[in-house]
Parts: sequence; C-alpha cells; structure tokens
Amino acid sequence: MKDRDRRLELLSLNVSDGIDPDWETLAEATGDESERKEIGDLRSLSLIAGFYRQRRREDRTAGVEPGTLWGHLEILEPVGQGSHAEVYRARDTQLNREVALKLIRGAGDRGAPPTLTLEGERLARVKHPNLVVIHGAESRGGDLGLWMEFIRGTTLHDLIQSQGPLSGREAILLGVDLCGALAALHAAGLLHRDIKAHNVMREEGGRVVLMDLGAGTDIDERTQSLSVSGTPLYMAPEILAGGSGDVRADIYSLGVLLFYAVTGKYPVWADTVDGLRRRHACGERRRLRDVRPNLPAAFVACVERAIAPDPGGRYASVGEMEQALSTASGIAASRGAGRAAVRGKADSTWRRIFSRRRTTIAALASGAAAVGIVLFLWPGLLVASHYTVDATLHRVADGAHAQLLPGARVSPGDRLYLEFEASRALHVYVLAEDDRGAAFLLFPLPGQATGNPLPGDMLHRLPPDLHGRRYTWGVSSAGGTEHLLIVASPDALTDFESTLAALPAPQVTGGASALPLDREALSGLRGIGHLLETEPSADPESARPAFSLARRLAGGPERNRGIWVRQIDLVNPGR
Amino acid sequence: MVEDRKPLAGAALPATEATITLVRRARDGDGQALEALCRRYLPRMQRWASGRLPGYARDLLATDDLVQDAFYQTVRHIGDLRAEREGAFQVYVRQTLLNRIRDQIRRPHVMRTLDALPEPDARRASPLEELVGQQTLERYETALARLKPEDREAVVARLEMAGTYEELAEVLGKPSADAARMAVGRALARLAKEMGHER
Repeated sequence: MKDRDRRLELLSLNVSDGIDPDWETLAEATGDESERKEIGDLRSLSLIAGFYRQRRREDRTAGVEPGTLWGHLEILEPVGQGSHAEVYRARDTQLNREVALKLIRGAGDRGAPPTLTLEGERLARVKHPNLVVIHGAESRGGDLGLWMEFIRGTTLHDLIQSQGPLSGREAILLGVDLCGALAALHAAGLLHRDIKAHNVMREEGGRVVLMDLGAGTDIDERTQSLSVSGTPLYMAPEILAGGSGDVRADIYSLGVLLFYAVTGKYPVWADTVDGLRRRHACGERRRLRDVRPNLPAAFVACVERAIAPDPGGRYASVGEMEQALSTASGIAASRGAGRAAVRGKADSTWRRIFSRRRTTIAALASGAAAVGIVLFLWPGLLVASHYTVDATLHRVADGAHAQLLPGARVSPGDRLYLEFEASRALHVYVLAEDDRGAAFLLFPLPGQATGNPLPGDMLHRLPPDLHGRRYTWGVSSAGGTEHLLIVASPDALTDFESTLAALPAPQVTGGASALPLDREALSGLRGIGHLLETEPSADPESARPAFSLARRLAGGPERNRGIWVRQIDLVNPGR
Repeated sequence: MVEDRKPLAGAALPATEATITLVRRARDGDGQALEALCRRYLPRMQRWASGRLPGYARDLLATDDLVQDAFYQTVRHIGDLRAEREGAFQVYVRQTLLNRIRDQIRRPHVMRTLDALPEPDARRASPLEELVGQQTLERYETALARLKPEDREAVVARLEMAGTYEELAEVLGKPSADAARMAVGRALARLAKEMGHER
C-alpha cells in the first residue's frame, strides 16, 4: 500500500472513531493537491458523522434521565448501550443497594421474544460464585428490566487489550474458574452460547464473573432449529454451519476464549461470517503452539482439544476440561473441598495478577528513550481515542507571548507555559528532561490546588495559578536539548505516578520549577533547562525512566486505553 | 453490572436476522411485526431526517409523520427482499426516505408558504447543507451511490446512523466490532476518493 493510501486509511479510521485531528495542519503538510482535497472531503465526512453522533447522544440522554425511577430502582447513570438493551447503574431504593439494570425499552409489545426475562429466569436457576447474581426481572410499562449485582471491574477483553495476553498459568486459573461457572450452568440444564472475553468480568477484588446469558438456551431446546446467536469468532463450527449445539459448543467457545487470553488472537479468523465458515470448512486455523510456543504443553493440549473442529474430539464435559486444566497447573482438582481449594488459589492469583499488572507499568520504567508517536504521522495529529487534545507550548518574553514549535530555541531566563484543552476530563502529567538524563516533574506538583483530572472542554494554563498569582516554568540553565513530555489519560496512571514520585519534586517556593512571572524571582531557581553537574550517561536512554515509560504507553497496548503522549524537543544551546 | 462502555450482547436473535424476518412478516401484513420494526427504526430514521430537512420544511411538515409514513410505505412495498444484511435494508429505507423528502420539499404549497417566511434563503438549507455546503453534500450523495453495497452500508450505518461498532458488526454481518471498524475505515477512504472524482 502506498504511503498516501495508508495515510488516507488512518485518517478515515480517525473520522470513524470520532477523532478530530488538526485538519489545517494535515492539509498544509501535504504537497499534493489531490491529497489535500481528499483531506478536505474527509473533514466534511467528519462533520457529518459528528452531527449525527451528537443527535444520537441527545436522543440517549432524553431516554432515561439520571434520577428517574423505574419501579423501585432509581437510575443513576448509563453504563452500557447495545442494539437491544441499555444498561444503567441504578439504586434499589427498597434495599438501598447498587444494582445494574438492563433495560429493553418498549419491548413488551414487540414481536421479539422477551429475551431479558428469559435471561433472568435462566440465571435465577443457578447460583455460583463465578456467575453474575440476578436480583429480579420485571415488565413495566412496556419496558423489560433485569437487575443484577453491579460489578466494578473490567472485562477480560479490555484487560487483554490494555495489558497484553495472560501468562499460561494465569489463563489456566481463569479457565478453572470459568469451567466452574459453566459446570453450574450445564448442571442446571442451560447452555451459555455467548462465551467471550467481553462477557467475562474481573472484579476489582479479583473475582472472575461470567455474565450475559441473553443468548443462552435450555439444553432441551438444542434439538430444535436454533438461529445463530452469539459472537461468530467464538462459535463452534457446527453452530456456524447452522446445526444445533450442546455443551461441547460452550466448551469450544471457552477454548477460543483461552486461546485469545494468551495470544490476543483467535484460532479461526475472517472478515465475514461466510469467510469464517469457509475457513472452518477448509480446516484453516492457527495452532496455539505456533502463535505462542512457550506455553506449558499440557495447557496447549487442553486448549487444542477444546477447540477441536469435531465435537467428538472435544471434552465431553466442562468437568473433564477443568480436570485437565488443573492437572496442567499442578493443582489437584476435585469436587467439593478440592474445588474450593482450587478456586481460592485462583482468586488469590487473580488478585496477584491484578496487582502485578498494575505495577507492570512502573516496572517498564527501565527501558529506552521516549519519542512522542504523535509526531510520526503528521504534526498535530492526535492519536488518543475517543477524545481530542490540543496542547501548545508558549514562551513569555518581554510581555509578549509566542507559541513554541518543536525544535524551537530556548535560553536561560525564558519562561514557558502550556495551554491544554481536551474534549473530556483527563489526568495530565508534564515532565521535562535534558540530554544528560536529569528529569523534573512539572505538573502536577504536590501542594498545588489545581490537580488531576483537569476538566474537559475548557482551556487550562499550566503551571496553574497559585494563591491568585500566575506562574511559569523557568529555563535556568543551558546546554543541549530539552525534552518536554506531556501525557494525558482518561484514568489516573497510578503506577506512572509512582515513577514520577521518584523524580526530583521541586517545591513551589524556594527552588521551584514553577516560577512567578516576576522576573526578579528567576535567579537561582531550577527550570526545565537546568544542568546537572554529571557526566552524560553512557546509555542516556536508560537514564530516562519516565520518558521510557511514556514511549511504551504510547506505542504499546496501553495506547488502546486512550493514553495520549506528546514530546516537544527544544534546543537550548546557551547564549 | 459493568462499568465499561462496551455494549452488552444480550439478544437471542442477532438484529440482522430479526430485522429481515420482521420485514418479511410486516410486508405480508403482520401488524405486530410492523410495529416492532417501527420501534426499532423510527427513532434512528427520524434522527437521520432531522439533518436533511430544510428549516422551513421542518416547520411545515411534521418530521415524525413524514418519516413514519415513508417507513410504512417502504416496508409494505419493499417487494422481493434479497438483502441478507440489516445494513442493506437500512440503506434502502434511508434512500426511500431521502427521495420522499426531496419530493415533499418540492411541492408547490410548501414553496408558496415559504414566500411568507422571513429569511427564506437561509432556511432553504438543511442542517447538513449548512454544515458542509450544498455542493459537498451533493458530491457525497453521488459518491455514496457509486460505492459497492457493502461500503455504502458501512458508511450509512456509522456516519449517518451513528451506530456503535458492536451494532455495526451485527448490521454489516461482521464477526467482531474490530472487523466492523476496519470495514468502515476502508469504506470511508474509498468514499473520499470517489468524492474527489466528483469535483
């Protein structure tokens, strides 16, 4: 693909994602007139998309207002939206507890089957620690509602997207938990039929929860002609081919889920459902051993058996699969106390996974130098998903304010500030570093009233005002290149913050990086261009933990979490 | 139940199959099926029409009635439904509605009334025309019509119906939200190239 086509596709994806890049800069960056016109047309498409997105948002807001009562449930906020159901965080006013309310509005007099009440009935039949707990289901005013425990956590899909595949052992323990949940469902005469990473939640405490039985059926119905439901990439080939499914179809889906958990890939993949069918028919598939060779052989064998194309080649029950997984992990699994022991171990392991994965970010800080990926494409092009950011660096000199572009020269005595605006509230971190690896945290600073998150849709000037006085960052030394790094994230980067905490943390008064505009106060204060009296590191990259971390945030799976990183390099050769 | 904003799959039937089944039933006179289709489609088509009707027409025509009437007529006269994807049905309804809007706003009684309205020129434009300009919107329509059906369905479902990627996976018959997203990206790139040919 030509570079121009690649740029066009990238920009088209931005339009589709609702990301509004700096159109003017993009148009100016190309010397090709026809490309400039294509960019202009994409901008028009972006406007059309934005118009209808806004209308849809307004419609949704008009749907159920926070504070609205649905029976005895008070709607607190929307938390999910599908093509058939809306999900709200709600409060049970009778029992005064938080619940999740899944609502199909106007469903009562539709021709469609009341899937939500069926889901409630199915789940109410089963109680298991790894299945979501249903509190009730009701039809009210033509709406169907199902309310259940509200789980604070993240989906397995999001976990893997943001933090990468699981280790073999993590996946084994995950599989043991899910086998337990499925065994309970199957024992109650139910099939799940939509096992996928989106439907597995990892609660903040580490508990694994299998959710969403909306596509499930009674096992007794399996001989009837079933329509295709669920998610095609996880579907057993016999289901995709239009056949009926039994417990082995759920086992197949669980095998796909474990394959995905350790690779981030699916064993059989295609762009369309027909393509999937063809690949199944031709036996085209990825082998787990080929995708990730270093997994325990017993685990690989277990997954490969679960996803055997022929149902007869799979485990006959999830109990059998659980046994195989437990053997693979070296855990002796058995019903009763044995299972509890396995589960206890799994839970604590998941808690450890969560803890370890959070600290992984900090551990990344020992790598190489940072580069803002924003600048790789076009100047000013935003890479963050689902929000836009406008960040510009300015210099104050003799009362005049001027924007500094990457590569601009700065000198001791210069006073700098950042203007930052985003379309949503973000946690913002600003760091400075010189060629010798001396790094300083510029924002947020301890003791400042203004901290994270910075509210969206308003212009912020950093450093923020303090006690009614306006501040800037001062350049107090000369030599080499200064690197200014700006990181923004919808969520607090707690582990990144612990890395930042290890950096020199200047005080606002007495040797601060934040300087009053009062020029006399400049002398003796540490600024972004301060030079340390140390020799340059033999490996300067290794001396930049925060920058190294930022590059990984920008280029690695963390990018999928919508973390925005930009580096601005300034030349500071001295006077 | 969840705090992430991902849609939760939860229907026994994918929207694709359910919609096409409902359309066939409605065409054969099943009133319940027609009502079910209306509940599913009218809000998004009304939203869509709100961007296409000029200001004066929005004053004179009850948008909801116009859309509902057009939708009823579309379903009842849809003929042999060969579409296997909901996206194809969506594009069909959208095009019928667009034709009907064009027809309605050309009617003499509307134009006569227009003369009495203040600032008629400004109110001739639809919100989308005001946003991107009449010529650009016309180039968009022409280019859209030239796309392959799959690309056209992807553009309409994402840009004009503001569907989520999860919804698009069902509407376009894609195996995942990611696949739907990539399909939209490619379709938009082709659309931009087609629009260039219309200059």
